[in-house]
Amino acid sequence: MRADVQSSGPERLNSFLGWFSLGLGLLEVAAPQWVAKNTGLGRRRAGTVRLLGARELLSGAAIMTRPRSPVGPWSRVLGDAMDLWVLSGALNARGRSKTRAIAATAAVLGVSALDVAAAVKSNSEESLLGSGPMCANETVSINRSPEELYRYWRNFSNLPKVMSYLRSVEVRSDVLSHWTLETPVGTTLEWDAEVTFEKPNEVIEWRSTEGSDVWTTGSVRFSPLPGKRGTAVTVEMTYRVEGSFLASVMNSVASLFSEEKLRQDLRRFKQLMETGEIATTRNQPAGRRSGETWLDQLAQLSSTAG
Amino acid sequence: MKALCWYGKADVRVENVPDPELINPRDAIIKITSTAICGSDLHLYGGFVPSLESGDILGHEFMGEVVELGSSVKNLSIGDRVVVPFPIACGNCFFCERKLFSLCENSNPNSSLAETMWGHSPAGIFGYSHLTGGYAGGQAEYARVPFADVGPMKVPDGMDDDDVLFLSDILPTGYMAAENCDIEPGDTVAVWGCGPVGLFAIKSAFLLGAERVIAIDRVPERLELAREWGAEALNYEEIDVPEALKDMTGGRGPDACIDAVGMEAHGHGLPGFYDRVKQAVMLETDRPIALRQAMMCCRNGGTVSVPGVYGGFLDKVPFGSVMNRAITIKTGQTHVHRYMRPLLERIEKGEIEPKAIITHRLRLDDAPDGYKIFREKEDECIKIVLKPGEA
Repeated sequence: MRADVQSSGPERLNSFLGWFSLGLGLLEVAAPQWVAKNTGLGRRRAGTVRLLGARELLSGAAIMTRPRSPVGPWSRVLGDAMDLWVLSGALNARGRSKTRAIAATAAVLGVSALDVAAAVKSNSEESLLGSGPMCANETVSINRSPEELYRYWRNFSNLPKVMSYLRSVEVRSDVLSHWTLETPVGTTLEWDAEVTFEKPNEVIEWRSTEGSDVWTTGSVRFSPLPGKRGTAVTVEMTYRVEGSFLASVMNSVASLFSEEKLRQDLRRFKQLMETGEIATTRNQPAGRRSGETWLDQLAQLSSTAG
Repeated sequence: MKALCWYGKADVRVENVPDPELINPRDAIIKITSTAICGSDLHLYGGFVPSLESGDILGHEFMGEVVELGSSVKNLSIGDRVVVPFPIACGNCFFCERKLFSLCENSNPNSSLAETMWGHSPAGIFGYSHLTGGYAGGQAEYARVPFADVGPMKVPDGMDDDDVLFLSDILPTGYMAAENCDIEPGDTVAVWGCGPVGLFAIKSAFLLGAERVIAIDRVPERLELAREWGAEALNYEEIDVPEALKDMTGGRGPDACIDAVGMEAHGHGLPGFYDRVKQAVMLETDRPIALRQAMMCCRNGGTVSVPGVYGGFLDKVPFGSVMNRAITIKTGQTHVHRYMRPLLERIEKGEIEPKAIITHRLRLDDAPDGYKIFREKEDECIKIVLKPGEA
């Protein structure tokens, strides 16, 4: 937790929701019959209430331990949906049960509104890693000279061969380029980037230009390894999709994989530079309908055939 | 084409699958004429290796004829007869340059899986689960061989398949295991496991100058073959091995110990029971019974050489014994490419006769039976070779 941060609106909301989750969860687990009766579900649903309580406690724990992460608030939203679904069954009851169910539903809806607000806010400000926009930093050793590697990378139109999901990079001038990315869900994102700093055979730094839909910075460093063992290539990238609600959901999901994806991309770069090709087992025969298994897909995390 | 596919524990079947195709410029397609079942295939058969998927084609000891070549392969021609090493190596990386081919950094497309399990990834291997790349294996009629300009070795005319097939894996494995012992004249080497790898380790130990080799197993025909090759054989079901080794070496212990058994060690008595129970409840992934003995029995300052395959975690390993007595442990998947030509020469000179260990020659269709026979050591089985070409 950063010490300089004052308790802001969103943080107080998160905190309230965290305590609320813990309190409600405790109640549901400790006194499920009472809760079941007073929300119109009926005593017999005590078991269900206990389960809901357990989930509530988990959400609360998630919020309290990771106050900046969207995981907690989103799990609450999911939990609200579950609660509403359980309650909807009770709305068919009669008399006092029905009244209680209606009251409980109204209460859950009210809290849901707060939860959704909290979740969206946490999304747009933080990644799932809780440390700002999606950020990844990886190093790989490549058995080639810094000059050779720098030359390849500096021609950004080569990068789609290295970075999965990058469909194309169009070099427009010495410093400007236009990038097109294809997301796993099939949509495309485009942005312009400019080289902000370079030192031949050592460093290249770039960032997206003002007003782009995607905010990204990147840097690559080439340093000779001791003992003439080639070059250490260190890449750092940060990445955030601006604007829509859907974008912030995508950010959260994508950030789960960003370090691993960058590591895979650098491995691809190494294979290309050292062996001239990229190792793959796609489309090879097997005694099952499709050649590539989910394990391969997870491990290779790529949409292009190497 | 027909291929031997894995579908679950003790469930392998020969199925009809698509033929392999060239994918990368350095690939080749081999029409397989001979392929063998390996002791380490039994770990796959028994369900001990994670990340196998239903339908995976097994097999990593194979040879045959080149039928298709990628555009970048210049050192082979269509029609060449080649033996293919089981680790896949690019020839260009830090490890390949140092001839540590089984550690190639570029041949495992699933290196992130291996990294999670082992810290870093070794080379890709044919037919040995998705941890090592998920490459389709060689117990089939055809196989795609990546980096064909580095791996496959041409077979001289006049040599049968059976003479050279084992250069793909088990002969170099036994040899590297013995080489790792840093044998000096006068040395005594003890070998746990008289399966094919153990037998070749025994042979190699003598070739490398060992004065005595002591072989340990329980299967009579394997002990007999070890004796034929010059070893003194101990049956661990009849003799207390640690005591015997002490007696036979003037109390000091063998100078080097080779664990050619690996993770599925058959345990005797209480230690065996302990490991089986722990494995069954998943508190231990591997059973290091032979390894423990090898470590404890080895003389001070000696070497324990481990060609036996392990996958995960061991329990109750006497590392105190290892540390306090300066034991060297040498291990690894074989750097096959390094040994193929030197061992081919030895075969040509008659110093080794690899086909002596073949007890069964089966059609590819009979491979599932072969696995069963091999695992149960039925029918005096030592090594099974499959002939895909033969109907």
